[in-house]
Amino acid sequence: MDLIERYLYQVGRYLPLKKREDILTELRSNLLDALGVSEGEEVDEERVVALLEEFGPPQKVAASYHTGMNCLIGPELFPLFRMVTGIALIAVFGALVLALAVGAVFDPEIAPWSSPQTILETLSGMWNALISTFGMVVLVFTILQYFGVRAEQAEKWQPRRLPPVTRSGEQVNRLGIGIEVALDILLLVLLWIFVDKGGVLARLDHVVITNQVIQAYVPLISVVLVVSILFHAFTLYYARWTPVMRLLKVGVSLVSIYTLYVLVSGHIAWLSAHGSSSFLTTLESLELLPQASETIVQNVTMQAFRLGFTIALVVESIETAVEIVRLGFQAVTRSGASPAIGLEG
Amino acid sequence: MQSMINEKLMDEWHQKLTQELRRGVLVLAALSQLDDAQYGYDLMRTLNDRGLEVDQGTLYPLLRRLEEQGFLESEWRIEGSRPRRYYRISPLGRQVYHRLAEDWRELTRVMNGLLPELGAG
Repeated sequence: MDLIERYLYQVGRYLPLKKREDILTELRSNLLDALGVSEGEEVDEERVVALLEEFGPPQKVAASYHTGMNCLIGPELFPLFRMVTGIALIAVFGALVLALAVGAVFDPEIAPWSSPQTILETLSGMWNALISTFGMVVLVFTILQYFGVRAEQAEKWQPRRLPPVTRSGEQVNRLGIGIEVALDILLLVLLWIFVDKGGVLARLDHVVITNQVIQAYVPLISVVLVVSILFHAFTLYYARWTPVMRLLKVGVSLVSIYTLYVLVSGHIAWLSAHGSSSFLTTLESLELLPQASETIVQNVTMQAFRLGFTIALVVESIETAVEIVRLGFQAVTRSGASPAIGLEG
Repeated sequence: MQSMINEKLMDEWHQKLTQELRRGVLVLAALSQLDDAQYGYDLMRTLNDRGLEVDQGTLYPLLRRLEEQGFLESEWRIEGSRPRRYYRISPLGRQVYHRLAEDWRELTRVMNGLLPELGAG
């Protein structure tokens, strides 16, 4: 009999408080009926064990008394939850990596790899940020679930609105585009901090550095970055590469290439005007003067910017060339090819 | 050895699928027997006697759910030293039961028509 009370006690732990007493009284009564004894009467323990085994574990029995959706995030919301979690984690991770990299470039003392301690701190900081991001997403979806919000149920389901099937080569790489958007946003923010602080970014020996070339082109760079962000955001929404989308992409890339070209030539002009033609000669001059003067630090920074923009220009040009080739290839195969998927077969 | 494992797997699957089938008809079976009030264990025995094997852990929560939905009414009665909860079909439950019974007859007719084809197929 003790076994039955122990069983009921465990079931009760998982039952809602409001109904607990009522359900347990009924369950006790049913169990005693099944054993064919009255309360307080001794009964063979083997029979009790067999009966409880048939009933099932306390948690399972209690769970079957719960009405309604007995979960944090239900099956209707789960696919959306998974997608949002993925995007949120990638975005947070990407932003953290970029912020660390940028921070390290401008202040090597705080670089994550500067000492074992900072490596550990960086990793644990990242872990905390990712876990709390995940927690926030779960919290939001739990609230949505609690208030009975369902994904895409407000409108009537319309089969005609189904997006077309994506052919191979047309899939959008969400991760890559997500990173690109994060990078563009970060650059935009940095650019405006740069403008706001009168051009400070470097703290090499606590010398204030200005970059007159970037300052001169702030409106152009801002517009290009905003256009790029909008285009990539639309790509994420549209989720496939059609020829029109590829053409648009090439258009956006050409504008970026033009901007990078303007910046690179601006830096070259500035550097030759300030008597610093190549990176190596600038570095050599740095060695000659251990106590780096402000001008030399300025020159090194401008050289670094020139180098950075040149690399970006080369990469962007190669990417755009590949894109143009792909566009041409697609045009050729599309004009003569039969549909890859057909019902007649 | 292989065939023994297959046999075991098959038994497991069979058990699960039978349970699902039974669970589907359990609401109808319970409603059909509750014109006169019965308590949980009593109803289970009635169903077992009629040949429908019922898992107690499934039946008792189901009775509560049907009551919450308004298809059953219940009351506590003290019998001997023990309180028992008696369930009886409600007027709403009766309406639902008649509809479900019609559906069941139609479904069995259709299924009976389908099953010989399966056997022959």
